[in-house]
Amino acid sequence: MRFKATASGTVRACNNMSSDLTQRREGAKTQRNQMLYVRWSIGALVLLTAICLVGSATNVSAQSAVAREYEIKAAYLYNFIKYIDWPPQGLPAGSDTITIGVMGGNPFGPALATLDGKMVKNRKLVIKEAVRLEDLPSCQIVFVSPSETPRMQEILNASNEAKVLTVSEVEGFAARGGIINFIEERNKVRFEINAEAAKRKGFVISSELLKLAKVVKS
Amino acid sequence: MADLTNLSLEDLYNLDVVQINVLGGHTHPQGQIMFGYQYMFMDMEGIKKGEREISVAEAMLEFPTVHTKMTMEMHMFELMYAPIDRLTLMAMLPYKRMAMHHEMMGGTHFTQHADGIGDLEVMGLYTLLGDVKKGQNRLILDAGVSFPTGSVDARDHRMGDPSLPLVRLEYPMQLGSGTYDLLPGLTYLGDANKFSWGAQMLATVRLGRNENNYRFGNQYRLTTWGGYAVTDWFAPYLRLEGRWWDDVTGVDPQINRAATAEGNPDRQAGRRVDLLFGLGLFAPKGALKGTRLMVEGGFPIYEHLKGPQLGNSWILTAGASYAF
Repeated sequence: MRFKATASGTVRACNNMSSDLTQRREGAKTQRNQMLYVRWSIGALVLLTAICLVGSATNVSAQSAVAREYEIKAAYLYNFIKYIDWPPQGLPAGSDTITIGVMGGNPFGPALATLDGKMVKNRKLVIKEAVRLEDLPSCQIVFVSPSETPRMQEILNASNEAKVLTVSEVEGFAARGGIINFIEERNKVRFEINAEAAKRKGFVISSELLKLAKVVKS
Repeated sequence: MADLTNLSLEDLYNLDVVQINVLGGHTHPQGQIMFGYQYMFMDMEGIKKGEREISVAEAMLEFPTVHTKMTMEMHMFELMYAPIDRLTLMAMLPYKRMAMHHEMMGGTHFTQHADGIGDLEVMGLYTLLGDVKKGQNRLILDAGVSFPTGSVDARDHRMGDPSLPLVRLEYPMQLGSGTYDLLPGLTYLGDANKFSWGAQMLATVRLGRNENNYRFGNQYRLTTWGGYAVTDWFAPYLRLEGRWWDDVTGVDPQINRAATAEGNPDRQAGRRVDLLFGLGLFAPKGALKGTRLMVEGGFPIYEHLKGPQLGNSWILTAGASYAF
C-alpha cells in the first residue's frame, strides 16, 4: 500500500510537472498566435489605408440615385423636344431659342443646367427658373414642380392658353390635363402622356415617343 | 454631374435609377431581382477551453475521443427581390459538406463526413428610416424565418469504418437545426461618395424542439464594416463580426454525450470575434454588367469556448451575384 501510495504520488508529481510544461508550452503558443493576429490586423489596416490613399486620386461614379433620377429626367426633356412638334403660336418662327421653365422649387439641381445652351431643332436651349404664371407665354416647356401641387389646376388652365408643353412628376398630373408626367416603374424613369390634351393644344407627338409612353386620358 | 442627352429615348427608358455599384446595396430598388452564390470554407483546428488552447491529452482527461480538426464547405444560393422600394425579400439555401477528424485514446485517428442541404432562410428587409434612392443613412428592420429543411439525422459509420454500423453524428455535424427559427435583426447602412459603412444585429431564436428532442442554442450576431470604392469596379472593405451562441437544450438520445465534447449538449456554447478583410469587384458595363464578385478572408481575434471545442482557424468566402 505504502509503495503504491508513493508511486501514485510520484506519478502525480510527474503529471503535475508535465502538465505545467504543457501549460507553459500552450501558453507560449497562445501568445504567439495572439501576436500573429495583432500583426495580421495591423497589416490589414495598413493595406486598407494605403488603398484608400491611392484611391482618393481616382474618380468613382458612386453618386446619389436622386441626382441620377434628375439627370435622366433632364435628358428626357431634351429628347421630348426632338419628338414633339409645337403649334405655330407655341414656337414662333422668328425665335431662335427654346425655353424650359421651372415653376416652383427646382428638383433637378445642377442636372438642368447641363441643357443650357444646347442646340435642338436649330434652336438654343434656355433654362429659366422660378417661372411665374405670367411668364408662361415665353416658355415652350414648363416643368411644374411638386411644390406647386396645391395650385396645379390654376397652372394647367393658364398653360392651355399659352400653348406650352406641361411636364411634371406629380401623381395624376397627366390625367388632370397635363401633357407629360414622369413616373417611376421598376427602378426606371418612365412617363405618361395625355395624347388628347396634347392634341387639343395643337401639339403633334411622334409615334416613337407615344410607343414608349403610358397613354392616359383626362 | 453626368450629361445623358447623348442617350437615345430607348436608352433612357431602360436606365436604372438606383444603380448597383461596387459598394453593394444590401437592399434593392423596386422590381430588382438578384441571384447570388457564395462559397464558404471554414477551417477549425486547435482545441479550446475558455480562451485557452489546450492539448489533445488535456481534452482527453474529460472525453475519451477528441475532435482535432473540422472543415466545412458551404455553397449558398441566394435569391432577392424587391416588390417595393422599402421592402426586399430574400431566400437563402445552403448546401454543406463537413468533415470531422477524431483522435481516440490510444492514438486511433478517423474522420467522419456529412453533406446535404441546410436550413432554408426566408427574410424580409424593410427600410424603416431613409430611402434606397437617397442612400446616405438608412435603418432596416430584418425579419425572417429559418425552415428546418436541413437534416438532424446526419450519420456516418462508427469510427469512419464502412464495415461498422452507421451512427448519428454529433451536434455540430448536423446539417440543420430541425426547428423553425426566428431571425429578427436591425441593420444600419451609411454611404457617402466613395465610402460605405454599416452595422447589423441579427439573432437566431430557436422555437420548440426538433424531432430528436433538442434545440440548438440561440445565436446572436453583431457585425460592423467599412468599405471604400477605389474605382467603380474595385472596393476593399474591413469587417468585424462578433457572435455568441448558447448550449443545446435537451438531448438527442442517439448521440453519446460522454464520448465527445461535441456530443455533449452542455459543451456547445461560445463567443467569438472575427476580423475579416474583403475585396468587392463589380462590372459596371460590358457583357457582365451588374455582376458583383467578392472574396473575404479572416480569422478570430477573440474566442471563448465552453469547450473543450475546436477553435476557428480561418474562414474564406467567395461569392458572385447578378442583379437585373
